[in-house]
Amino acid sequence: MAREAFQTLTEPMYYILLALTGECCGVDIMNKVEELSHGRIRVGPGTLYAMLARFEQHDIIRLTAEDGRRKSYVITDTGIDMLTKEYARLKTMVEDGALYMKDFL
Amino acid sequence: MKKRIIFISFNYRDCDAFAEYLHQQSLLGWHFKEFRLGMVFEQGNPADIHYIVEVFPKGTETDTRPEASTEEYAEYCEAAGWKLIDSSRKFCVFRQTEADAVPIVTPEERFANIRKAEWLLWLGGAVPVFLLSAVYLSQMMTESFSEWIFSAPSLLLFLFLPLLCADRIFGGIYLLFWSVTRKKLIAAGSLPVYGKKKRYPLKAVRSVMLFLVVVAAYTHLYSQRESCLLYLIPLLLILIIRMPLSALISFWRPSRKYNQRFQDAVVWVAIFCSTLITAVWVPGAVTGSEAIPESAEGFPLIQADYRQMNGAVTWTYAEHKENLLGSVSHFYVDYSIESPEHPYLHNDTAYDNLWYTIYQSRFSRILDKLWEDELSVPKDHPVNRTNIWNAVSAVSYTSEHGICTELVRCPDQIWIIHTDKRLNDCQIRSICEKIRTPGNSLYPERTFP
Repeated sequence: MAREAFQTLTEPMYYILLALTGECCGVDIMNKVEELSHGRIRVGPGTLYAMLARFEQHDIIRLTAEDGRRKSYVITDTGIDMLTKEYARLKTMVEDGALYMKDFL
Repeated sequence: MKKRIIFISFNYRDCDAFAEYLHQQSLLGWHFKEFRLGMVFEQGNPADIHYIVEVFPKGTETDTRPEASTEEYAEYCEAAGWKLIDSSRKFCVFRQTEADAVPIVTPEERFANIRKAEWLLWLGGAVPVFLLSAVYLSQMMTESFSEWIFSAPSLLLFLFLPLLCADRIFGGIYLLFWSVTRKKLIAAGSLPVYGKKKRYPLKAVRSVMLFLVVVAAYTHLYSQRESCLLYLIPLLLILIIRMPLSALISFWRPSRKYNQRFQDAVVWVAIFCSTLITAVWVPGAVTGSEAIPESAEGFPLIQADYRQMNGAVTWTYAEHKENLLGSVSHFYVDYSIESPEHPYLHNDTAYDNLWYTIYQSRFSRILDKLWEDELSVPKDHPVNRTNIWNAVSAVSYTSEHGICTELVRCPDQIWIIHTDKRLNDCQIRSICEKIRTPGNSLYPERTFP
């Protein structure tokens, strides 16, 4: 099931879904992820290819257009729900740690 | 532009060695162009070109060229600085076009792709071998034991199949060891380097040729040419058909769909041709039988040896199989009798039928198993005749059709004699004397050391 397989998103997964909050061609996702993460996250093409296939299989994203071999995707409601929960989880972790981390930051 | 074709191949787990090989060739001025028959290189200026060979998880063993999914994958890779040159099976060969090209997959993903491809390949080779061996060995030890145990080709298979299984098992153990060690390397944060070995295609052919030579030599030695052909013909057909077929597919490079259909069709044609040739062309019966002799001259036993016969031999048949473990001979003798009182009367001519089997082996365990198998079949009113036959054990019974059977176990032989009438003590003594005469055999030149 989609929920169990993607309970926690890895960084590349998170940024890919973030990039797909707007319709985006598969090939352009790599650049968008690098842009969103300010160069910190670089997703390999093979990794992206496999991940898009898994996301589509679990209805987290959907195909919106196909022009030859170039496919465009956008996130689905299931994907938004997953992304929102992950964002909330990460935010909670940051807030929980803020009190203890302020002496080190 | 000058081209050359190189006939070497690599395992999936040696993909880095593959890439390094291509790199070295580029440094010498030979640049990889495509897979066609082998690896096609074009001559050009020496260049320091970096390649990467990836195992594409959606590829299959029947892929001879980039499929739609491969081309889609290649689009992503090209955007990241890797240009697809060509693909075959699950291999995708990329040339680096940008200095800062991001790795196509993570080390964990790469390992997972290679490991899965290797295991699937191993399973594809091992499962048929295990199944075939299990079926053959179970048949050998049960229903077909009495017919196969003394057959030279069957013995060879009996020895060869376990060796093949052992080879596959060791291959699996090596693969398991390889998987565990690479996984540990990745877990420790190291980047494993995949392989250093090339493979030469003739290596596989050598094994087949060796087997063919051994089969031919062994069965020629035991004069079982017809049964030798039973094994040689399918193997030769495999070689004759498979090698040009592989070359044709490698040159033509059909899509996955057509490749599968084409290979399926060829397999069925090969099975049909092989069956036709062995059933029609191989002379005599398929298990090394002799042509019907004109008389029963040389038969260890005929009716006239133990009782008075008024008539003549009208039909005989003999079959003999022999190998290192022993021999089995089947004999059939039909006599016409000028007696209207005989139970089998046909057109005023009666026939007396005698057929018998002699198993001979110096291995008592084999004879014990044969004896047990014979006795395990239910019999009507078996009679112990051990003393009369002066044998290790002897049993006599009559079937519901009136056929009388004598089962006789001697130290190195088993006789199974079927007659139309029950043998009396005097006849049994005559038979014992006749069969135990030194040198009395259909194949007198074949004696055990």
